[in-house]
Amino acid sequence: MGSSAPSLPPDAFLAYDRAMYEDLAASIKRLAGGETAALDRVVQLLYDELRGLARQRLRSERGEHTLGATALVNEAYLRLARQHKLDVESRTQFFAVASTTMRRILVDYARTRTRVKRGGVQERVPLEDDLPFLSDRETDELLALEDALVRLAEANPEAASLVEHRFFSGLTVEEIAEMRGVSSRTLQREWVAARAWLRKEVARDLGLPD
Amino acid sequence: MDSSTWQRIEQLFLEALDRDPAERRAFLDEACGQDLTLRQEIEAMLGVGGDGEGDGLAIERTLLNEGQGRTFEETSTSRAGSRVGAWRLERLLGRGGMGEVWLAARADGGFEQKCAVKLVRPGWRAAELAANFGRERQLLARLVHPNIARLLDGGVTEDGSPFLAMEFVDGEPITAWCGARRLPIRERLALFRVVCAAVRFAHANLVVHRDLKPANILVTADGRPILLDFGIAKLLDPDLSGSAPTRGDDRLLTPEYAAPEQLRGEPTTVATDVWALGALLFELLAGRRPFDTSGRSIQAIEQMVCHEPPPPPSAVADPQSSAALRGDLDAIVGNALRSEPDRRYASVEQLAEDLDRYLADLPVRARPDTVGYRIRKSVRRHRTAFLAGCAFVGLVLTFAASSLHQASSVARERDRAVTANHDSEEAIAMLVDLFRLANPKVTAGGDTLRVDDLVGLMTERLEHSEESPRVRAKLWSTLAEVHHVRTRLDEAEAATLRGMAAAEEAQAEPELLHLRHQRAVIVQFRDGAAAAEPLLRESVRQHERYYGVSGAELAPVLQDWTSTLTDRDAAARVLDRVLPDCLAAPGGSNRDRRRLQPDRCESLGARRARGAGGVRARLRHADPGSGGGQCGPALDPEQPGAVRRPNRAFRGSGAGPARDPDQPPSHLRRTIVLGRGKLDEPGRHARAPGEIPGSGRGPRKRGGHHLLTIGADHAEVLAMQSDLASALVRGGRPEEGFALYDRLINHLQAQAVPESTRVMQLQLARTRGRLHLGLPTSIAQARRLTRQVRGTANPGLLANALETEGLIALTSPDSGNAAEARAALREAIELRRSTQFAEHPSAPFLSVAESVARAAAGVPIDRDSLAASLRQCERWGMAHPGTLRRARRLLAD
Repeated sequence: MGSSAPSLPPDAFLAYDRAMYEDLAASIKRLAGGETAALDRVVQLLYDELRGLARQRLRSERGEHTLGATALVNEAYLRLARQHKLDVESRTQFFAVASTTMRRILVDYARTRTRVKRGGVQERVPLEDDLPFLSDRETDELLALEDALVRLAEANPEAASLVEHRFFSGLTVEEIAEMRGVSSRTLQREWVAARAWLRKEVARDLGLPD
Repeated sequence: MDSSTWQRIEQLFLEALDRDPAERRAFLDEACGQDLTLRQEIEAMLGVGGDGEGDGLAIERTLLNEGQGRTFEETSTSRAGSRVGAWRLERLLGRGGMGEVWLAARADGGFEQKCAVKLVRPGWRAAELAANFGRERQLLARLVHPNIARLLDGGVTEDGSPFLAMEFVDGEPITAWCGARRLPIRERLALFRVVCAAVRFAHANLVVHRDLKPANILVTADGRPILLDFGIAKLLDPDLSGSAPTRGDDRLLTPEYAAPEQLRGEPTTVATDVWALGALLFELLAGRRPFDTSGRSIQAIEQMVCHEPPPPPSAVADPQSSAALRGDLDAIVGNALRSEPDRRYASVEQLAEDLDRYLADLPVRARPDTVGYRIRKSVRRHRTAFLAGCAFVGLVLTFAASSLHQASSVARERDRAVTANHDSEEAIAMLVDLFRLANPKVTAGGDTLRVDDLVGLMTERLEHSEESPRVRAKLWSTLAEVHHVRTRLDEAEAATLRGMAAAEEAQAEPELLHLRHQRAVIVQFRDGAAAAEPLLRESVRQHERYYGVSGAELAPVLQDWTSTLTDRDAAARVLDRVLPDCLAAPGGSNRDRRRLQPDRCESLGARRARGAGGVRARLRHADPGSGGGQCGPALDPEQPGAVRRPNRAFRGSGAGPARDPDQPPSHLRRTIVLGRGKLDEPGRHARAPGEIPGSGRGPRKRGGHHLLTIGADHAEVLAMQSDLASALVRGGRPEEGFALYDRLINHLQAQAVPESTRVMQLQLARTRGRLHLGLPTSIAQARRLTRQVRGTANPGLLANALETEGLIALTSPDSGNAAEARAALREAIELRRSTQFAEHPSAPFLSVAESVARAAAGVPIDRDSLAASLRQCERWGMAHPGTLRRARRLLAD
């Protein structure tokens, strides 16, 4: 948020963007309406869009070299919501898919990066065109977090989903509670427990001091 | 890891976390027992995931950051000096659930301006907000009011978070401001009234605040309250604009000040602001909030606010102010804080009005009705308004009488008569009950009850009345009439609407039709013809549907409708076509007849005259050649030939006996209605000095209408009877006519005001009647009358008296009187010319009479102008026949 100038005038979309967001909105509506087949389309569109937004952001001259996954998802959502009125159901679907997608983007990036480093393979890094997207430490942590998150999902998928929403879409616990229609107090406790467990797992995995 | 392992880890971890750090070891000793792996795990979690967000992983910050490697909250200090739109953030003013508020200054160097910038924390809502922003912003930008902080700017930062720039208000929350100054109750109320007015203004502009609370109402150093964040709640919560209400943990809510419907997740309306104002008033008066919500969960708050009535402010205020709050203010606050939105004051306006009533020592609406309360209020004011009281009494009695009459004579079917009779008895019982209160023997000080009190009493009785809906409909209608008479037009309209609801409930079509019409007339008064036209048109349509296309019931509605038409000629055509039949039609209630007063025609005539170009139009309308049968130009009723329907039953009545000596009374009545008019002196009756003094029952003039007609002595009733007498005299039943004149005159003289204008008018009319029929008249009496009239400074009446005196002098065999006749007639001509329309319809006749007088005095006359004047008189079929005959003879010589 910090340094800010008015940006994204409503008409700042290219025709391509507009068509894409139209497709996205329609697909999300189908998904929200129970058409699970639409999920693939939503994921595909969001995957490309979020990566595109990240690339724009990293290339910009503002000198920001950090990712801000939350901001990316927000931006994508903002673009979508400006063009298409979404009901609560669709909004929920958007953030659910966006969280998962963002997670996949980051994990894909982290794995590629690690592989490149480790193997010295001259493989094109697709996401950031060699821009420093994640630091080495962040890359390691992300991968450890990913592993732990998978284990958490086995034990408690809801807790894992909560973490996913929180970390990869930047939703607050209150917002997630509202989305799920549950008390935020209960969810807050679940969040604290899950986060502590994940931190512990990552720390152990990476051999970090407690 | 399986599900049960996780459950156990989570549970133990949270339980340990809830404990004091010092006790955790002991807790884990017991809880984990020999399971060292579990214990290590929990301890590790406590080590990294303890309290607060604390130090986490680097990746956490990266994921959650907003570009600076920190979370929104963590970056706030670094935001100082940064730009948001055209604004540079200077100082953090506060932080809340939605984000932060910054003091900011214009950064574009244009001019010095401070504002408060609200930065909204990004999130899934934030994105939605940004999308909704443009639309709402326009609405809010219109909200320019001295007591509302303006929205100056707004936009979206580059990471998609909306921001708002509001007028910066340097002030204290209203409660703190009042507290610090130990403001007395009245001054607090005055301040609160200003707040109400601002909220009202916003409501009128379709903006509901939804989050009114002391923190949002700041009072500046100079004592001006300014409301912040108008409409922001909605801006920040897109769900409020949609249909789906937000349930549960709504971050936007301030639970301590949330209205029950907000807590229940129901839609918010103006009633929500009414509730919040009630809560604010409570706090201003009692020094604490209506509900003690501290430390309670939102569920507990919901339970309390939605299901328990708040205590009266007086019960929790300190003892000094408690007494002042007990009663009215308790009731007002209680009414605003009702749990069900539709049981509160329907608008902020009503709340404010009740406070005004309290401040004016009037009975407040919120207060349940007790006689003692009324009387206390009344006695406190120490005012008697007996005359107004009389008017009210008269009106309700008229209602009672008319419904009795309706019961006895009008109902078309026996059943209806029985019902109506029953209704009347019920209604009268209620009225009598009401007036019993005004009896000092029943309630001390009861005779000082004012109309306001009576009206208020009646309103409240009606609201809680268990009378049949038909009776209620009628009483609402009566009440509406009372309000109307008192030009409380909003209340009048409201009463008609209540009445309509009751009539609908009763399926009482006639009452519904009547109320519908009544409402339209009230609207016409208040908002003008254009606003009333559709209502009246619909009224006509409904009347036609129910009563048929002609009928006495339709006439008044039709008249009122046509009065709203801008095309005056079209209006006249409609009336000409329909009205006579309506009036002649049998049936119609007495009430409808009563509504068909001459003044309705008069005002119509006046309007038509204005609309179509003044007097000329009147004259044209009066011309039988132009189609005849108009509603009649306005003429003095006492003029010879007051009957002006030459093409109809009374054609030629001025020149001799009517064609049909056995006219049915309905024709007479029609004559009266159509023949009488007072265009030239629209306010004469109302303003005439010495008129039935003390009775307070003169016709009330409002915007050219007579609104109130009651009692045998009422000016309009007298005028109608005078017209009737005139018509009888000229219509072939002179004995009856003169007897009626005598009765009226005696009646008025018995009222101890023999010199009243009304008596003089009647005496003049009687004399003119005798003159008309060629009966003996007394010149001495005429002179005396003229002298009396001179004392009244009423030029129209004086002209009439002079004309009468001149004509008598002219008919006198004594030729010496010719000079007197000439002088009187000349003065009459001059009077008419200087004070009234030059084209006064009696002008040609006066000119003829003056010529005759000249000739009689041996002075030469202008034969051509006499001939022209004579032709005009003849065409109108009016004026004194004897004089006309003499003029014709003059010309024939």
